[in-house]
Amino acid sequence: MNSKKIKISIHNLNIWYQDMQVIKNVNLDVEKNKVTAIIGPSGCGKSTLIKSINRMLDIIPEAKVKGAILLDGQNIYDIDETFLRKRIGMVFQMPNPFPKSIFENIAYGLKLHRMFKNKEELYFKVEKALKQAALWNEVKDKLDKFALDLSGGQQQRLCIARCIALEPEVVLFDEPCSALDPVATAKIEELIEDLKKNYTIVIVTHNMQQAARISDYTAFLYLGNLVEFGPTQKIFTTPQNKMTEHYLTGKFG
Amino acid sequence: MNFRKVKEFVGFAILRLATFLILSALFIILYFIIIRGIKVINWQFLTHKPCEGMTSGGIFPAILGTFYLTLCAICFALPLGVAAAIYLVEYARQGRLVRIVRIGINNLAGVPSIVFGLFGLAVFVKYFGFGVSILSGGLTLGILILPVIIRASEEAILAVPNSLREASLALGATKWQTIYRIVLPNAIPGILTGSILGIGRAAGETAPILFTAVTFYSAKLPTSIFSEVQALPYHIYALMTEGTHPETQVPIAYGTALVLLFLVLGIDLLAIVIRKRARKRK
Repeated sequence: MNSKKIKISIHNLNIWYQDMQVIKNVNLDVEKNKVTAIIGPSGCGKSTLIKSINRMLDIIPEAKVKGAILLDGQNIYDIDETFLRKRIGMVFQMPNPFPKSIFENIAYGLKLHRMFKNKEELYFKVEKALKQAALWNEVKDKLDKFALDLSGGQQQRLCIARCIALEPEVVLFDEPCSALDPVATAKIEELIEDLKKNYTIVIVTHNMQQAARISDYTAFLYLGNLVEFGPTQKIFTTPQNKMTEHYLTGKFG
Repeated sequence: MNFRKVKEFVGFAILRLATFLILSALFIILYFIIIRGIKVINWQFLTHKPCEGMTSGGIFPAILGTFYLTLCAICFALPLGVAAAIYLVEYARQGRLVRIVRIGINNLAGVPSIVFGLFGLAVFVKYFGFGVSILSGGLTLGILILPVIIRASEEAILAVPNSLREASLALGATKWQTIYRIVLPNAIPGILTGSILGIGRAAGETAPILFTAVTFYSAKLPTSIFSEVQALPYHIYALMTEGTHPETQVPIAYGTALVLLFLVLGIDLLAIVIRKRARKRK
């Protein structure tokens, strides 16, 4: 990997919940404008790892983080967390739109960061985000409707739109499809493929096929250890580690 | 019928009887108050002052006084209680200190209301020099309902799903923005419902206002928050104990009781309406 293209660099990362160590000395480089998938069995620390990248672990008082995570070479703990989270967006496992209108859901982050000068610009940015999230055609006539009345898949795309409305550099997906049906999942996957032109993407998934379909790089995490990391093609065809092979062939997990 | 079925039958019968007894107690109270009170209630009773040494006329000053006292209690206790609840749920580190604070608040709810009355007399009336006034009585009532408001607000805030807080924080909101823009708007129906029930209780209390706000009879209506007032619950008490013409005053007391009862029921009804409307929106 060319060092110029590295967006996020994780060095010797260790994370504890009270006395239990959940991430053990992980080193990982995330390349710019690529999709990096983190796979592994339940409880292996995938979600913890991805939540450390935008400092969402800060809100869990028991979590203790050691090691360094660099965004464009800058330690994320040197960046104000509100600004960091604007640059690194996140989409959660369960769709979690605000109980507001569709429009207000997208406008929320734009208002927080005062990212518009007038109403026209706000409307334009909301429209742009919804278009990028492939939701515009379905909701353009009902922007003032209640967001929770949308279907699960639409809600998740709304959350993606809400996130990319802030024009982040990185988007973190924490098992974004685990609550969705196959059709909605296919739409989200298509969308992620599309988004990597503009964003660097990290996705946690327990669905190996999904990782194989959409990611450029795959990291296999097991019991807090990064067992293997490399180009997805290579991980899935010629895994170096026996454990990776066993997991991928369904011998455990 | 086998023995197990007999036990079940007897068990259910006892439960049914208990429910029936409670309901009938409620209806008996309502029946007697309505039967005795309805005779004196008319438009004049609701809109005029008492006259001829409380033996005729209306109870308008008492209605107004209870309204002012309750309003003052809300204005004091609602912002304070909600603020405390936000702090306890969202900011305070959940440890021993917060546990002690919670126990303290719960104990506050168990303090007899006459003790609040004495406290109000010592602190608001005497120490702060507010005198016997709407302000002193309202503050005393406010303290009385604080635990109710805090607990209702805490529950309403806790009921806001954590996923919404996460969503807001992940978009780069500060904790305060998250509370102000996401948590509070979603908690307000619950806060209001719980608080209104507390307010209903405040409206009916006698002991806390006994030494702090009320007067037996006042020739003029209150002009400021430093005026003493008449209030419905105390009016009943005064009519029943200090009257010289019980034959005319007792019916007035029942009429007053009926007005108070409907006032409190009306307040509770308001709480139900707010809760229903909030549910519908979800």
